[in-house]
This record gives sequence, structure tokens and C-alpha cells, in this order.
Amino acid sequence: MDSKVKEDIKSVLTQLITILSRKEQGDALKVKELSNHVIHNATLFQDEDSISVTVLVYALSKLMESGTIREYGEFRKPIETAYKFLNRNDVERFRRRLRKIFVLISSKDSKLRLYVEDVLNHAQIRRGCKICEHGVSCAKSAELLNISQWELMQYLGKTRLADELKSSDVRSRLRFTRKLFT
Amino acid sequence: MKAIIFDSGPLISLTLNNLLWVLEPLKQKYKGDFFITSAVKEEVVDYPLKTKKFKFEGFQVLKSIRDGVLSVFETDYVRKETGKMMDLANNIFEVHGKPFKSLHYPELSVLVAAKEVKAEAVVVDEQSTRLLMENPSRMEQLVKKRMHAKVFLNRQCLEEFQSAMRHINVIRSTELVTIAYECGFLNKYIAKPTTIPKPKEELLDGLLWGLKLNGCAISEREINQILKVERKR
Repeated sequence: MDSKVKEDIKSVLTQLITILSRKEQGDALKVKELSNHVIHNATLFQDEDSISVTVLVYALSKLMESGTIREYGEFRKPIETAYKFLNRNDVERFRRRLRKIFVLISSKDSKLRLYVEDVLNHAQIRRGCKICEHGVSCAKSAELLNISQWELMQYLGKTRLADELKSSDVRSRLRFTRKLFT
Repeated sequence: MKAIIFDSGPLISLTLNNLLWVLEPLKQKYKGDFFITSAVKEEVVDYPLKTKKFKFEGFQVLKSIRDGVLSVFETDYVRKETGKMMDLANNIFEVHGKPFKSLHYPELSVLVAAKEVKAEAVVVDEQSTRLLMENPSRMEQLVKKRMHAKVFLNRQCLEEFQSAMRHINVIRSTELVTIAYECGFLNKYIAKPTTIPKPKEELLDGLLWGLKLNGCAISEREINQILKVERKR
């Protein structure tokens, strides 16, 4: 694991543990902002760990927002353990612990499971869009987040990403296309 | 060679809008080949066929291939050269001393295939590929803004990349569908003026927004410009 990525993930986990240690208003938003912080590393390093952490943190924020997670202790403890492994440079155990947290999220309740899986999938798509916003192509973003381009494009179309850039020369492009078909 | 090469994005946008069928009459009018590379086929057919959510959409694209509307183009040259192009394209920008890897194998395979067959155009809906080809300084600004960091531009890589991609023209699914609209292929959807005022214009508006909302990187301003052009025709 790149040392900068490691330090960044440690910092995010520390802040996450702090938030989960005290129940306060606005926790979900704070956790969501944390997820945005990791996105830069996910975009630049395109490493599995940054991407897993950003998806996990974002999914947690959505579950907190919806009230699905009320007791934070259940998630705080495995996150603390993940942090300890990372701090000890035991990357393999850190990754295994993250996977267990994903399983914990998915297995919370059989009725909630579909919803929670949906949240995780949604988190992947949202993070994929965020990576696209940073200038990474659709195909690359989809591959990094392990989702299909079909899902990503459906979501991307609903963002304002295309509107933020200066318009291209539409008339010339249209004239050129017309010439191809005459 | 009279050919147009498609990236995954336009096929996805068209299929999600129930517009994939429009490629057949367009191809007849074009009197050339519509190609996709095997990397693109993997994304738009092979991958969704293994899932639940977009399986039927994958079948629809597969039908277009079986019917001969789209043909899969793959050569050793495409395979080898795409790897080289990836090294070039993904080293144009550097952030925090690391190469900024913005493009992926499938979209670069489209550009390389276009170069090999001297295609007249490539159809690419997503933004990053188009920006890197048409306006790399704008891409640089975007990366700088989003990454909140300085971006180092490797001019040699950029020049080599641009030189390789020099004669490749990029169009989008929106331009294709506008031409289909001009050719009258979509006339069956025009409502009576009693149902909706300005039915032709509203149809085109619906088509372009549909493509935009399903991932084609076109701005609202550009849509309005196309509508304005078509109003005057």
C-alpha cells in the first residue's frame, strides 16, 4: 500500500471512529464528507483500498441518514480493529476486516438486506460518478468500483457534470455528422 | 475505409432510450461499416449478460451484432497499440508526482481501431476521452480543480498522443440521432399538433434529453443550440 494512501486512510478511520464514539446531530453528514475526502486518493491512486474505504464510509453515511444504523458500537469496534491492523502494517488483515464490515452491513437484517445491498450498490455508483467528475473516464471509473458502465451512465446522466464544461462547437460537429450521411 | 467506430457509451445511451434500432437505417444510409472492438463488446454485451439488471439490454446489442448492423473489429495491431496508447494517454498528466490515469482500455481500443481502418469518425459519449482529444488544456483545468492540486503536463506524451489521434473525428450519439431525425427515421413518433404544439421540435427535444439523462455528455446549452439549428432548417 502506498504510504500516502495508508496515512490518508488512517486519518479517515480515526475521524470515523471519533464520530461513531459519540452520537451527535449531523453525524451522517460528517461521515459523508469523510467519504468525499478519500475520493481524491481513490481517483489518483486508483487503488482497491481507497475505493473500498470510500464506498464503505459513504454506505455507512446513507444507513445512518436513513436511521437504519442507530447503535454505532456494532460498527465502531470492527473499524477500530481495521485501524489497528493498518497501523501495524498488516494490510492483509486490514482488508479482511473491511470485507467483514461489508458483510456485517449486508447481513444486518433479512428484511433490510435488499435495502442495504441496494445502498452498497448505490454507494459504488455514486462514488463512480465522483471519480468521473475528477476527469477519469466512465469505463475506468466503472472498473475501479466494480460496477457496470450501464449503471454508471444512467446515474451520470442525472448529474450536472456535462453542463459544467464550456460547450463544444455543436454546429461544426453536426455539420460534420451530416456530411457523413450524405 | 468507410467506417464509424463506436465506444460503449453511445450504445448504452441509445439502448437505454429504446433507440438502438436507429443504427440500422443510419447504416444503410451511410453505406459503410459500423464497428465495435471486442473490448467494447465485452462491456456492452458479455458483462451485462452475466448480470440481472441489464441482461436484456445486452441481448439487444447482441442482436445488432448478429443482424450485421454492428461488426466486431479486432486485430493484433489493435491489441498491441492500445497498450502503448494507454501508457501515453495515462502519463499526460501527473498529480502529486503520480500519473493521472484517466482512460481505460476499451475507449482507447476504439481510437486505435479508428486509426487502423482510417475510420471517418468515432462515436464517443463520455467526456474524458473527448476532452483529452479535443481540448487537453480544458482537461488539465478540470483535473486541477477537482483534485485541488497542481497538475504537471507531460508535453511529449501529449504531443505523441495528439499526433497519433490527429485525424480522428469525434461525434456523439446526440449528433447521430439528430441526423436520424433529419432523415425522417423518427417520423413515426411525431404527434399531431392537436396533441402537443410544435410536435417535431418537442420530439427532438425529448430525444436529446433522453440521451443526456442516460449518460451522453452533452450540456443543456448544446441541446438548445441543436434545437435552434434544426428550427432554422
